Amino acid sequence: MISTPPSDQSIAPAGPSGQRPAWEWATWRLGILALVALLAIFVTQPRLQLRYVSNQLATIIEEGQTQGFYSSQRDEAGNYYVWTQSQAAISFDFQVNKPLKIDLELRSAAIAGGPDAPIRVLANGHELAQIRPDPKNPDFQTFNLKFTPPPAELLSGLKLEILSMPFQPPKDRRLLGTMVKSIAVDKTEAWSGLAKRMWLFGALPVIGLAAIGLGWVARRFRLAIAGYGAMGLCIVGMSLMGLALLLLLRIGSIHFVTFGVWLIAIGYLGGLFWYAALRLPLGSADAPTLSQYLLKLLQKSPPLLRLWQNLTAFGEQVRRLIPKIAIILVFGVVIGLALIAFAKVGPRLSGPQPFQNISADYEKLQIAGLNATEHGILSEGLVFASLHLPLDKKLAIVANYEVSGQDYFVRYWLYPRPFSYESDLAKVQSQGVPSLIILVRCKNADCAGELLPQPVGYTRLYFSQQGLDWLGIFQKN
Amino acid sequence: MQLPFLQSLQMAWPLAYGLICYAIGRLELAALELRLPRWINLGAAVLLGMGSLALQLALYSLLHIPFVGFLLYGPWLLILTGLALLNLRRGGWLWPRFPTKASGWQVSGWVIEGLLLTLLGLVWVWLLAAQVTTPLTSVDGSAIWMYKAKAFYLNGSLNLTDLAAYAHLDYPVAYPLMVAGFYMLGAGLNESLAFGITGLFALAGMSLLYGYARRRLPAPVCAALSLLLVSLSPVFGLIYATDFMGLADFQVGVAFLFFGVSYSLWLETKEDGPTYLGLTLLAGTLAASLKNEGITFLLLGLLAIGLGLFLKRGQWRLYLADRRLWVGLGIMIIAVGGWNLFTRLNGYTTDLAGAFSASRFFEEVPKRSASIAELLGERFRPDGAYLLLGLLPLFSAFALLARPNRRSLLILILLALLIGQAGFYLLIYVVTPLPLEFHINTTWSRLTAQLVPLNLLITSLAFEQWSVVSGQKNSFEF
Repeated sequence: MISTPPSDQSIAPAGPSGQRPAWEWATWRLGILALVALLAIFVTQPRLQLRYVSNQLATIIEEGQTQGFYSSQRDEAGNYYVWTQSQAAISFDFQVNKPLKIDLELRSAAIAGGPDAPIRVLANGHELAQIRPDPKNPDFQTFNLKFTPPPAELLSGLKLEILSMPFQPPKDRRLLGTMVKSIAVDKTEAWSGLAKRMWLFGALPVIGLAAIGLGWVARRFRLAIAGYGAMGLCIVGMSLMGLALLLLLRIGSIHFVTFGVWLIAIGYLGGLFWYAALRLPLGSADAPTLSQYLLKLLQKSPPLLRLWQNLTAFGEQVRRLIPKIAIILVFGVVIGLALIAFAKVGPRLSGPQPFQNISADYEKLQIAGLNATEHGILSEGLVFASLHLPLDKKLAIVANYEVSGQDYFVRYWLYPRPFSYESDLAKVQSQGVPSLIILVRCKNADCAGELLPQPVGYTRLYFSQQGLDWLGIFQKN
Repeated sequence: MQLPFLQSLQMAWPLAYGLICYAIGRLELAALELRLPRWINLGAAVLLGMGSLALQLALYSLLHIPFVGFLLYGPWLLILTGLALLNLRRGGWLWPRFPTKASGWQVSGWVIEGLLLTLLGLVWVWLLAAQVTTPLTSVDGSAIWMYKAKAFYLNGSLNLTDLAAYAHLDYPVAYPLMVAGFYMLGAGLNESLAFGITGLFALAGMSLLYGYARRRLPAPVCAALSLLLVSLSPVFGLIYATDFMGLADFQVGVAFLFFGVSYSLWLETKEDGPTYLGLTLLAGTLAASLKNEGITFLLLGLLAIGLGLFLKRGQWRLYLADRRLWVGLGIMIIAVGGWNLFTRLNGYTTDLAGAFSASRFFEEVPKRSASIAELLGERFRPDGAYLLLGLLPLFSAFALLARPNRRSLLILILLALLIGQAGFYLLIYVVTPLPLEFHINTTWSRLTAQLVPLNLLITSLAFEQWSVVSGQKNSFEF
């Protein structure tokens, strides 16, 4: 049996030594943290299937940002879709090293008079496929892609790009690519490595409780085999977490919250089992612990022993400073986040970045196809329009009624765009004014009639305020 | 409107803004070495912080420093961090601890008080959630206040040149600057979230009123007064109804209350007179920087201050020697004087400017008095809240008779301030060049609401006065 080293506090592991309550409280804290870590793992399961429809692609999507998609529109068959620019992209927040499935619901630009050219799909700059939707089929066709994402740039997620040959239809200022109805992402297979092995985490409470029980038996009945059993279980628990960590790293960042939380939680749980293994006696209760055994080995090598003593002395100093370091770190993180936030705010000065609360709401209503009287008020329509109109080009507002009552709202929402009120639509159109808003006061029944022209590339706006309806359209740039 | 729950979660933005303003305000209170009673501390700090950020932006514009969030909040962040680290090094706590004036603070019945405060807190959170989910549709909000805020934010300076004339270019700009500063925090151009600033004013008003009244009155009375501050129909309309969201009338009303509280504390104190007077001047400055009505209020307030100085005439040397008072006075001259000079130089005048003449007043009084009384009566009559608001000053006036003492004098001065301000509103109706009915229709409820917070403060003083009469212990002296 290996005897406990003499009372050299610098090398002896911190133990109960008469301070039982403190030790016990520390143990409880470790246990509570372990439960929190385990709970966090189960709570932060990633969402494996995502589907983005047209209006989301045009505005905001979950787990990523889009680029190069025009606003959502509706065809005669009732399909909602978006036109892409020649280059459209989705930058996802995640990057995995296992196979992903992506379903693209597309239609050929040839349906709208564009070229019948193949569409290239790229992932992190590498070509995945060339897609060629049927140029004669007006229905949207689904293309399934399964691939393992190539490595992304440092600190970036997966970037999916859709490249198509651009064309400009008549009476439309936009350069169009292809029509997208939806994009679906399935991360099920990528995550399956861990999803199938959730028992790794489910087993931890059982192993932990069994280790505690065996430890108690070893102490109470001085049963060496129970002590070995407890230590063995701790090593098993640690190994399970090692395996989980390996699986997680092989999958990659499936979602930045999940990845971060799981990394910390697995690290903590594995570390806790390792720590417990070190602190348990090797055999019966009065036997030295594994850490003491290791220290004994250290003592046989004076240079290593000195190194250990220095390390423990340094560790003790650090331990005393922990509260202050923690506070300074928190401040550092807060200031860092504030700086990042401010850095992001800076570019806002270059142009308006209206928040999309109202407009998103309005857009949703538009897309839902509700009738005119339910479409919110003038301001909602105007803020929706303001999101799509350029800042620097002159704007003409043509109205068939006296607009002075709404001038406040119009000026507010269109600020700082220069604009003028006009009365002759044909004249304005012949002058080629870059952007145009047309407001027409009409009764509900008339609104669908011939009061308004239906030029291509205009989006309709419906207003309802104070019992009157307005129907307007604006030309998107 | 949809998405109320998700949108309401965004109240974190106004809360963060409020927290920053509170921290800035606490720093300023510490710099002034002011020891305010509990709750008053909260309200005063939030208001001072918001006012400081607005003034900072105005000065930035003067110095051609662009409106960037980093430049607005960065210096404060550095100061706060530096102070925190300095405190840590000295072994102190992260936050400077200010001794609070313990006198009169009752701790008994803390359970009831806790419940009441929780109720007030819930009301406030609900109000804030409602505000941040309201779209901008009000005429004055779109035409004046949020319009200016949008222009300041997008232009990166206090530039009024490309705004429509109906935006009342002469109006003080503290509120639009606060909104622009809020956008710079990171929320971006988002009118709905910026309405949370109204919520912060409500918080400040409630805490000022509660804190001031609570020093001598039981918690349920104070909580009731605070609840009235946000729930009486004229005020509630201003801070909740879509048609009024984005206006600055409630804000200026809270600034009147801030002035009233600071002024009362100043008259009460025997030790820190110059500091409290400095705070009173800052409160008056805030009122005058929020709306034109605040300028007349400040003028009336300066008269009241003059009276107070007369009452404290033995301490003038002390006042003259105290730099904190001069700081308050300097800020008042820079902010209020500076803005009025700016509007003069640029030729921005109020649409009522031409109407102010003694001859016009005397000419119109006989013609319009009856119409004004009739039109206002028609509007006040259907709503009992206005009757209550009218009775409260009467109740306070009767309290003067209950026991003539120094507090009576304070009540009298504040009543004179309230009535003087109301009289000014009536004066405007008399001389207005706008169609009278239109002018009254578009202003009467907002102007009444401006006076509610101060009215409730005076009521709390009257309650104290009555409680003295009914035999409770009380010690009040200048």
